[in-house]
Amino acid sequence: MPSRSFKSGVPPVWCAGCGDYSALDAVIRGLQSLDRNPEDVVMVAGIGCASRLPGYVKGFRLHTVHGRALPAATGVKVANPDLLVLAVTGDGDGVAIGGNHFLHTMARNPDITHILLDNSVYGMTRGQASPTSPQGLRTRSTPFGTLDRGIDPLLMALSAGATFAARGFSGDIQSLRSLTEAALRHHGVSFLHVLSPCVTFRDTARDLRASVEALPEGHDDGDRQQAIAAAVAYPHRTGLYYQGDEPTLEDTLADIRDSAAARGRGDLQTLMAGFG
Amino acid sequence: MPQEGTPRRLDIAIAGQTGDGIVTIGDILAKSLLRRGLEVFTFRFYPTEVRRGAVTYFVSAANGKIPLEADGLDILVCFDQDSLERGLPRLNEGGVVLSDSDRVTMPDGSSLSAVPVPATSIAKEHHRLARNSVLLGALAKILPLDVEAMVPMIEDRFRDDATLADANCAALKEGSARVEGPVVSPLEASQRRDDVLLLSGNEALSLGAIAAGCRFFAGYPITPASEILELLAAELPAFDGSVLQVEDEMAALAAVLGASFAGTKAMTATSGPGFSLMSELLGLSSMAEIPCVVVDCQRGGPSTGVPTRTEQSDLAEAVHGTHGEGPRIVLAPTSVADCFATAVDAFDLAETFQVPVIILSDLYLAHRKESIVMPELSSLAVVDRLLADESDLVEYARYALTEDGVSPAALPGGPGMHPVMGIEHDERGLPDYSPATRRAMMEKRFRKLHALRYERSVEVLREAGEVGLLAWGSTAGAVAAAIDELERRDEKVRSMILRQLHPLPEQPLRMFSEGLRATVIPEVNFTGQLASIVASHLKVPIHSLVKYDGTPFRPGEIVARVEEVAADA
Repeated sequence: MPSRSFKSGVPPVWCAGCGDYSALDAVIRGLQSLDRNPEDVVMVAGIGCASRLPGYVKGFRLHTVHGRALPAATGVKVANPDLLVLAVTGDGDGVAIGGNHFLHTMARNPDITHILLDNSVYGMTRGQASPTSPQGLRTRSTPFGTLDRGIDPLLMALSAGATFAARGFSGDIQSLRSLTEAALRHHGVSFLHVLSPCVTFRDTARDLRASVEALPEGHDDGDRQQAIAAAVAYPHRTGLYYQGDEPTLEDTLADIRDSAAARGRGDLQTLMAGFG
Repeated sequence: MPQEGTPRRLDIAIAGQTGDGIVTIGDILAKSLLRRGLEVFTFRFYPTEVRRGAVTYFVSAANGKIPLEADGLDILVCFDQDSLERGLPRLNEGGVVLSDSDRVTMPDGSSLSAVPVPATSIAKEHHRLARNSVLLGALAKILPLDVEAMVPMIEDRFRDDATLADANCAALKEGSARVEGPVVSPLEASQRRDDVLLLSGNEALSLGAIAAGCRFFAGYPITPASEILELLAAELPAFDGSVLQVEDEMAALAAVLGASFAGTKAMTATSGPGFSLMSELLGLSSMAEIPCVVVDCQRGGPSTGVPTRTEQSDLAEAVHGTHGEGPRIVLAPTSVADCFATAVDAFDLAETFQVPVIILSDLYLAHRKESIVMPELSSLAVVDRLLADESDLVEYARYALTEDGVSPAALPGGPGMHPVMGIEHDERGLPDYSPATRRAMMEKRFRKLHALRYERSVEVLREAGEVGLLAWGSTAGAVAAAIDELERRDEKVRSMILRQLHPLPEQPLRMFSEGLRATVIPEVNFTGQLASIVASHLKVPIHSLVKYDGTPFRPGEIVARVEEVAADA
């Protein structure tokens, strides 16, 4: 009986106190709660500290180039829908260079889980601003303050049509664990935004612990409009903002293949003869 | 003067503006000629804008196998005055001008053979857009071609609109009735074959990919590659495959690499601008040893360039385009039939060597149609990547340092879990950039290609001669025609077409340059990219013949240069 422990045994390179340790814990426990083997798991990542996470989880891992984890993950899932596919990015990889793919993946609804570890800074390259940094933040690349307004990836995901959108916080591990498991179980694209402070370059852990709260009681996670309103009203609340059940990309592609097959399975000779 | 036994040819051009429906009747004309048993070749010349600009559709037919390009025209079909002015300079002695006499005035005192048809007035009685069908009917009469046989083709073209279908059929018949024919002596085929197809380069590439086992395609629309996305989107599902139109070319290649990593043969197709965007991910394919096929249908560059004109200017980028150094293979098909074969070869090579394989097509090849014999499918040898066996899976190492450099792969969903990454790694795939590992891995990746013995790496056209002619891609057609003309003039020229552009096939190049006094290298670009690449391999003076006005070579241009070089050499 293959072991279902999802710890890879490799010690993370993250700094002590990095928020990403909580995400790693939540991912490992989440995977363990599912009835799947590590062989069926593919974790896809981009570049950055967050994207190191798959290295610490047992399974197949595909580290792509900066910003391209989501389309690569989509390709994996479409090629083999039986695989359990996760994409892990940071806020730079996911919202800056990967922003276009992020938007379209949320709209495409492949059955993958996208975990975005957000520290609002570029840690790997030592502290530049990120698209989720608040406007005016002074960093080594923005000595006079960031020029752009901060972008909220959860709001982006909701407005693009994500069928699961939630936010967790590395400082609230219980909530993060249950949200991660829910994200993994959801049939469709699951977007999990994790506030995960960088202890070395932008340590907002204490501020976040003081300010982050759960979504209000009675939040209806079946109403996208309400979810969007809540995302605007409560930029740093945690919880499940929205979950809905819609056909996934793979479901639709399977339907297309089935109806094509019903019209007659592909025969290359016949197809080519049509050009005669 | 054509020699005894030389196949007869007929070169027709249909010229007008976009929106005139020239492509519709050009396609029907080409199909009709094909079904008569003739060899057919078509090319469209058109602007970037969807609704404005001059369009010319060239259709050539012959009753035997001949090189495709010709320098002149036998029949010019003009939709407007501008078309006449554009086409006249290319009309052969004794050529025929079929024109819409409502809009075209023949020049005074012209000795041309004119066939005027009041197509605009006739069309008005059926449908104002049916002007093209009127001229098609007239053209069919003068060739002659069976007008009745064209009716089902028109009905199929307008299958979604019965009114338009009827109007066009009526216009077709009236156009035919209004002229006396035939005007040219009929071109008869020596035999009818029922296994011939009329295909564009893009269509052939797409079908070849299906034949090779490609079951995943991701792409982004771009001229002149969009047809590959469109054909596969329509047809691949029936073969159990999936097609995604994604948000940009980076998503396309990333999705392809993801699908390939999961074990599915995957491809994308683009043109210059999209190919540039794929640079980084091509490096990932090399570094992570994930097989993929990338088609670049070259067009005028750089930047947005000239989207609807052909060029062969991405060679340097195909060979080197990515930062750093990694193995890749670059192939360039030379004809529509070759597009099919090259697609199959590309997948086989990608799987065998676990590298990216780039297919360099171009607009001229992508959009032109040629009649080809149905490719033989039963004898196709399709290769799958080397997979790990039981012994490999004990302490599995994805990047095992094997003797030939190719490491057995393990697919997700089965045993052999491993990491894959663009960062330098050890045999197991874990990050490791120590000097020893770095050296070993660089050598391993490049060592893979030492075993490459692609039997179609070159095509030798002629061996004898002291002056050489070396070309690649779609220029091969004009080269073949040029050689024929040179032989008619009793001049021998040693010619070879390079089909594998990277790695360069050194031995064939060495043999080619043995005893040569000089060689001419024609290519459709400005800087002579192939000439630069082969310079150090050909120890003979190279005469780079470049053409960069967006049009393919005419055989005469190549003949002229070869004769100049032969005289001086």
